[in-house]
Amino acid sequence: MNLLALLRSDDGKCPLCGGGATYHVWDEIEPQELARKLHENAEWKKAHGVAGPIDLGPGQRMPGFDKNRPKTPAPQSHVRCATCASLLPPSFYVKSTHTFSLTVTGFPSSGKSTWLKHAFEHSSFGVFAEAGRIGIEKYPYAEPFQVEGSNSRTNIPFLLSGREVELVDGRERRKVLVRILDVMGERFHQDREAAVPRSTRDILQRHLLQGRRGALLALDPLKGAGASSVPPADAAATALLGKIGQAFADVHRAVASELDHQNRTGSSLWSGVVWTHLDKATWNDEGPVWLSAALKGGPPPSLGTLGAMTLPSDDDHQIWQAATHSLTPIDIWRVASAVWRQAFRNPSDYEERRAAAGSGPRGPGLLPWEEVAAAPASKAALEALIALLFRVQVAYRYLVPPGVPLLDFSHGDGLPYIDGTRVLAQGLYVLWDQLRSGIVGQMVVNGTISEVLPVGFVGRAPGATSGGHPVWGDLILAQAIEGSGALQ
Amino acid sequence: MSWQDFYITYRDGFGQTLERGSRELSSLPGELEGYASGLDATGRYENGGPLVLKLETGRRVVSWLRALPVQTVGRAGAWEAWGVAGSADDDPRYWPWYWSELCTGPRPVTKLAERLTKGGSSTGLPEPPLALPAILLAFQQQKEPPFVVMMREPTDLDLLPWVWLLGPIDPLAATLGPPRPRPHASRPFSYEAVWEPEVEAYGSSLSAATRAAAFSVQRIQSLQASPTALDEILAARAGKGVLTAAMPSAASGVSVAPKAPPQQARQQDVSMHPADLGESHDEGAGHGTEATPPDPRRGPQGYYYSAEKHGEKQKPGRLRRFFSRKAPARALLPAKRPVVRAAPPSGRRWLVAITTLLGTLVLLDAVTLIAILRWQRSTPPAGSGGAANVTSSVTTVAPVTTVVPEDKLGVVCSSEFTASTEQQQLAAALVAAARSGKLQIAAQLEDIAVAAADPKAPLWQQSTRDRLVHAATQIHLQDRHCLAAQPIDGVLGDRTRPALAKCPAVSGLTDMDHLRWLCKWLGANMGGK
Repeated sequence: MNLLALLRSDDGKCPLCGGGATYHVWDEIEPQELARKLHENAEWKKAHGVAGPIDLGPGQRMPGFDKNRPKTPAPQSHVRCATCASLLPPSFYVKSTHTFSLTVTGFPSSGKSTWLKHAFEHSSFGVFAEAGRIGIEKYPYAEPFQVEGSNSRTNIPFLLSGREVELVDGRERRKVLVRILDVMGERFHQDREAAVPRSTRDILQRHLLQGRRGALLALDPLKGAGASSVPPADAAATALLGKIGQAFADVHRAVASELDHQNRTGSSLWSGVVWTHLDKATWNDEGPVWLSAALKGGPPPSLGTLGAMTLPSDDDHQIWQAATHSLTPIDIWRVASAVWRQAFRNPSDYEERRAAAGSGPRGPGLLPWEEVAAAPASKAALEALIALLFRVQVAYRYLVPPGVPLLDFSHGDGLPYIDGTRVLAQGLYVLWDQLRSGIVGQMVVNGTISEVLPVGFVGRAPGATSGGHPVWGDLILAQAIEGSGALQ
Repeated sequence: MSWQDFYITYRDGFGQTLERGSRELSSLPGELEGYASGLDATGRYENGGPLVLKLETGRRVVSWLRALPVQTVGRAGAWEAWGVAGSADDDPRYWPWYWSELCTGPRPVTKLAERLTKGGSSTGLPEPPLALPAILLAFQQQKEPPFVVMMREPTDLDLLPWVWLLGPIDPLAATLGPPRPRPHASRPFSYEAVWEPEVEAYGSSLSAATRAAAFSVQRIQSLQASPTALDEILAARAGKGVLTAAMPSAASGVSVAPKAPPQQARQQDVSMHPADLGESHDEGAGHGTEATPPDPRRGPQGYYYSAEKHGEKQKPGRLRRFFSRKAPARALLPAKRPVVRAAPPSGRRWLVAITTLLGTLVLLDAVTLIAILRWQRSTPPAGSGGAANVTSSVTTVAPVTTVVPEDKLGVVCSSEFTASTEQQQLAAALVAAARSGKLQIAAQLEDIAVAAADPKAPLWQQSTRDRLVHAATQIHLQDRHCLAAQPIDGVLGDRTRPALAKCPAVSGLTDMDHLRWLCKWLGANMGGK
């Protein structure tokens, strides 16, 4: 990262204020001192949407504001925006052809910051990390915090952080500089009766337009547990969902339009939904009933066994291996086909999407329309299927030992398994969103949103919203990077 | 915009949400976020604390702020706040009178909102905490921000509204709270209140509290006695002039503030200056009181109380002027009829001026000398006297008002007001009242009083002194509220009775009722009855 920092880019801009000029700082200061200086800087507070004082606890020293290069050898410099003094991670200003801007929208407490944090961490439940297929180096600061901070909710509306991601595909190693904008959830409904503030949308658009490629993700949590919580909790939740969905659509449309207008060759915007908190869904008796009715010839025994599995702890390795050893990608694609028939009730739409989902080298693909039974899923059955989806993700770790070709992202046999799970997630999300009268699912149906990326956590304490291991967190990141074309 | 009630809490899926309040306040959660983050949800201050400030948006809030535990909301860093919000021009100064309503929980604070909207005088008077005078003393002596309120116990929260109101800054520019659970960034405010149990707290330095008790009680009584007193105090503190406030009645003005002679106590209006906070303190300090307030800046946690307005440092010069401003000597003298004189011929003006100046200096020196002599005479020598002597001193005390040089900070002093004499007066009065049969007091308190009245006895320990002064303060303040149930005929003077008639009746007799009796007795005697 330090070597990359030497390559300054002239077109790097601060996404918060739009300023293009930067300057180096050489000192480091205590967090309390930083908080005092930031509070006195009206431009910084305006750019970050901070209204009151900045409150920092004790911690490691942070980059300061001294522009004078010290005489002592080998100093570490940092870069700040000349307009608003925001600390810019190297990925925001380093010159590279492989840059990628990532930002998120979503409810408060939907897991935006949590996912952003875990997506760039190695996890035993990741798809690539255990096989050494992905390398991540992070810039340690997301001013005014350290990246390795507490798990408390974010109280600064806009945070900038950066990563350098190295994806390994055979002998080829490709590095991508990731620019991350983390947005505090409350910024999407500051006024409960009005739309998402214009200032928030402007910052999102500016951030996405400054990278050559970008990804706009909507984080949508599975609320609560139990079948009764699948539909919207109340009118206010529905209204908020609509606001966030509308903001997502507005930003997506504006960025895509601007990219077309600028005719920026190779620029693209990828959009997806990160469906979080899937570990809260619970298996129930409606699951086997629906599987029997929807899958011609009956469900494979492994699915029923898997759905009833308790989420694993560290000592459950053998139990899970025994439960999942007969699970095949075909089983997953069969369930996904039945779910899709519910989500896409029009045969022509179904066939069109089936064709898009693909078959052949990447997997068996969706079954033809006539081979899938039309068995409407009740709310309880839907929740059971969501629980099954998450357990399919978890089972991947036990089904495939680390290091075997199945883990290979591009050519291995694991792809049908992973792709089938992604297709299943899309169908379930659309059904779930229809139940709560959301508008994001419709964006998946009409193609505005490319992908539904399921994620949940294992090893969390009951009721906790932090800790544990994210399942397939790196898959989402890789999908977003690949989908945006940042590797090309 | 008038004051509007609001309630903000954390709601799953919505984050910090305005649960109660108008749409105008929809941005308030974001505005309070910086003050609320990092609060301690599980510590000794888990119930939160007050937050009174003018936000950067110009909005004013009078609120209570506390963290929500992770076990309740499933997420760290969540918080809730309730109170009232007004515009930049709204006046928040009467909020301490509704402190109890604000701190009882996230319910609508309708009385607070109505009173602030209505303005004007307040009704009712919560009991100020005992340590308040010491803190005011420390702030006055410190002069420069930051001002820190040390917090030992959660009950010390009661200090904060009064510090906010009576502290050496203009409340309209002051910020109070919220509580801090751990070391945090240096705030852009010059007043900080710190919670660190290991550090010596103001609450234990009661010698300082004693020295400042007269000021505090008198000031607060003045606020209650006169509908306009608060406005006048605040105006004076804002540098708009000399404060004029009604003196407390005889019943209330003697037990802990025996500095005014009967003649002066009868004055209905006596000018007070904000700097009179320093007079008694200065006097006490000059007598070698042992307790020095701890460095208020020690410790990293707690509340802060700001004299600065959103990052703008208050000009030191203003504070210096504020504290060093000398009250006019005439303010403490009986009112005289204005004398109209013809202007002297221009040729004689210089001569008249010089003569007047010299005369004034001579007069001041004389008054100072008299004051010193009287003070020496009224201070009981060590090893002499006993309860009887002290009792006698109570009846013969004749305070003298004097003026000390400005460079010594004190402005107006009552030379008889010292820690020891006041306590002995109180103790002696307690003993005399009990032995005369007019008063029944709790046995334990009587023991303390007897012991405290004897200067020879090694009883001027902290605990004894604390209890005595505390009891007297309690008596003194509470009898302003509820005394009507007691047979007061023959004990109270004419000036006390009307005041008591306004107080609601009390139910049942407790030790505190007996102590109130004591206070009345003291009031009657010290008031010249």
